[in-house]
Amino acid sequence: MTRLRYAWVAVVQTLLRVLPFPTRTGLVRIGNPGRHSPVLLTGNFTLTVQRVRHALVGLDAYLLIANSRGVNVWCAATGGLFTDHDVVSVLKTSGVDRLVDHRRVILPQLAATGIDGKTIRRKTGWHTIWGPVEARDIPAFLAANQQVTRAMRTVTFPWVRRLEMAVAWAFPISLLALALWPVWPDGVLPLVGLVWTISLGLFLAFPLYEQRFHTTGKNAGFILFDVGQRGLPILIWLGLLAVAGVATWLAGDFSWSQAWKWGLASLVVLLLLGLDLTGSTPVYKSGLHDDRLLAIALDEQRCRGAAFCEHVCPKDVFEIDHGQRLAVLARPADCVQCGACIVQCPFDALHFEGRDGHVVAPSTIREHKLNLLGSRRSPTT
Amino acid sequence: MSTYVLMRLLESAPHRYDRGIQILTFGHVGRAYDRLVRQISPGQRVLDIGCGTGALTLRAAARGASVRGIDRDAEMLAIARERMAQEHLEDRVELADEGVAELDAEPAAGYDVVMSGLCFSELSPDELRYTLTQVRRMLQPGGLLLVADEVLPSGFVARLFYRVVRAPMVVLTYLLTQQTTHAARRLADRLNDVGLAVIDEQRSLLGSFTCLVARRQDDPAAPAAAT
Repeated sequence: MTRLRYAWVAVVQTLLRVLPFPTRTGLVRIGNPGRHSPVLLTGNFTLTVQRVRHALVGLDAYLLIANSRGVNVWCAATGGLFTDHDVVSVLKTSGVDRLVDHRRVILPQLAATGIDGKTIRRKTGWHTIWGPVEARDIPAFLAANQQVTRAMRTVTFPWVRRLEMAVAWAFPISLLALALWPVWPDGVLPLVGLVWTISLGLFLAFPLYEQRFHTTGKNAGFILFDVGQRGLPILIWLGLLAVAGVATWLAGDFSWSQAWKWGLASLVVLLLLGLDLTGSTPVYKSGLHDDRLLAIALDEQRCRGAAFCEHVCPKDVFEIDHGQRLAVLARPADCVQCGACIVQCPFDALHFEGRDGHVVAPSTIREHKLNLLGSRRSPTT
Repeated sequence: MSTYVLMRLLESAPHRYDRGIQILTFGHVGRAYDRLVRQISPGQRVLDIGCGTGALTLRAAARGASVRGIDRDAEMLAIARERMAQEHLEDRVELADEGVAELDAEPAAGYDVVMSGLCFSELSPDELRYTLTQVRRMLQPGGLLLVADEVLPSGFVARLFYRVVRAPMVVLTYLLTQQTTHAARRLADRLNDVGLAVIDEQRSLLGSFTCLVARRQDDPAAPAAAT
C-alpha cells in the first residue's frame, strides 16, 4: 500500500467516518509470516484496517479481519454489531489454524465490551489476548512479549482525535447545509462556516468543560441538551422562530421565503448542538445508553483478583490488591459504564447497580450488550 | 441528536426485518418459502441455517418436521421464539444462538433436509465455502438442501438491468429497516464443488432470486464400496 493511497483513504474516511465503511473480511498476510507469527484480529471498518496495516509495516504477522458491519471496533462491539460470532467465524473459516502452530489471537482492547474471551476459547480453542487500544502501539506491544502497558490500554482524547471528530461531524452536516443552495445561494457559505466553527470549537474546547460529563444525572453525556429525549430545546427553537416571524411581520418585512431559509439554517445549528458529543470517544459516557446512569459494583466474595477488569478497562478505573487477591475500584468517578469489565470477569464478580438498588446481571450485558436507547428488552433482576 | 435518530432506527431493525425483505423482493420471499417447504415431509429432521425471525423454520415445523433453527442474532431469535409460541410449535422447534462457524458441532448425516433463506448471500466467501462443506457433511445421503436467496443474474445485460432496478429499492429498504442483502455469486457451481447437485431451480425477479433444491451426491472419494 502506497503512502498516497493511505493518505487518500484516511482523508475520505475521516470526512465520512460517521458512516459505516465495510471492507473485505478474512485473512491478510503482513510481511512474510511463519508458523509462529502473531495473529491479530480487528473489525472491518476500512479506516481501522488501513491503520492497523500501516502500523504493522515491517513486521511479519497474520491479520484477521472480522465482520463488524463496517463500523469501528468500539461502537460495533459496544452496540452489539461486532460479537463473539464474528470472531469465531473468522477464526474457523479463514484457515488461519492451518497456518500457525499456536492458538493465541490478539484482539483490540476496545472490543472487550462485546467479545467474551471465554466464549471464544470454548468454541474455537483459541486464547484471546487483549492488545493495545491504538494500532500504532502494536509494534511496541509485540516487541514487549505481548504485554500492554498502562498507557497502551488507557483511552485518551488528544487534540488530533478531537480534530478528527470535529471534521467527522462538520462535514456531513455541511452537506445538509449545501442542500439550501437552490433556495439560498448567499446563505450557504456563511452557514457552512458556522457549522465548522461550532464543531471545531466544541471539540477543541473539550478540556475546558469536560468536568460537566462526570455528572450522573439524566443529561450526562450530552454537551448542551438531548433533543431526542426532551422536547424543550425544540420548543425554544420554535418559539424563537415564531418571535422572529412576528417581529418581522410587525415591521412589515415578513416573507415566507425568508422564514424557510432561517428556519432550515437554524435547524442545522440545532442538530449540531444536540449531537451526542461525548459518544464520539470512549473517554466519556455516551448520552445514548441508559446504563450510564448505573454504577459498577464489585462482589468481593466472588472476586479473585485475576485482573481481567484491569486489563480491559479503557479508563484505568481498577487497581489489583495482589496481597488480598482482590480488585479495587480505585477511580470509580472515571468509569464510563462501557461494561467491558462485567463482560470479561470469569467469576461474575462485577455487575451494574442502579441507585434504587436494582441489579443488571453480567449475563444480561453479555447477551444484550448495553442498553442503547432502551433497546434491551430483557428484564433486569 | 443526529446519532440518536440513527441509533433509534438501528435498534428497531429486527422488528422491521421481515417487512424490509418483503419490500426488497416484491413479496417474493414468502411465496418462495411456501414452495420450498413442500419438499419437507412429516417426521423429517430439518436444520434451518440463519433462521432469523423463523420464516422457514415455522413453515417446516407446521408441516410436521422436527426443526432446529440457528441464527447469530439474539433479537431476531427472540422474535422467532414469540412466533413459535403463538403457533404452538414448541414441541417441534429448537432455536439456538449460533453462527455458521459452529456447524461443525452438528452430527454427521444428522439431517434429512438443510434449508436456508436469505442467509448464504450474507456470508463472506470463506464462510460460504465452510458452510456448504458442513451442509454436505450434515446431510443424509440423498438428503436435500433448500435455498431461497438473492443471486447475481447471469448475462451482462441482465446484471446491469438488475443493478439499476435494485438501486432505489436498496435505498428505500435501508431507510426503512437499515437492512440490505447482497447477491450470492455462482451458487450452483459452489454447491457442485462440495458434492451437492442442483436438481431443481426456479429463478424470478429478472433472474436475481433463486429458489433451489440440491441433493447430496454420493461421496466420490468413498463410493458404494463403503456400504
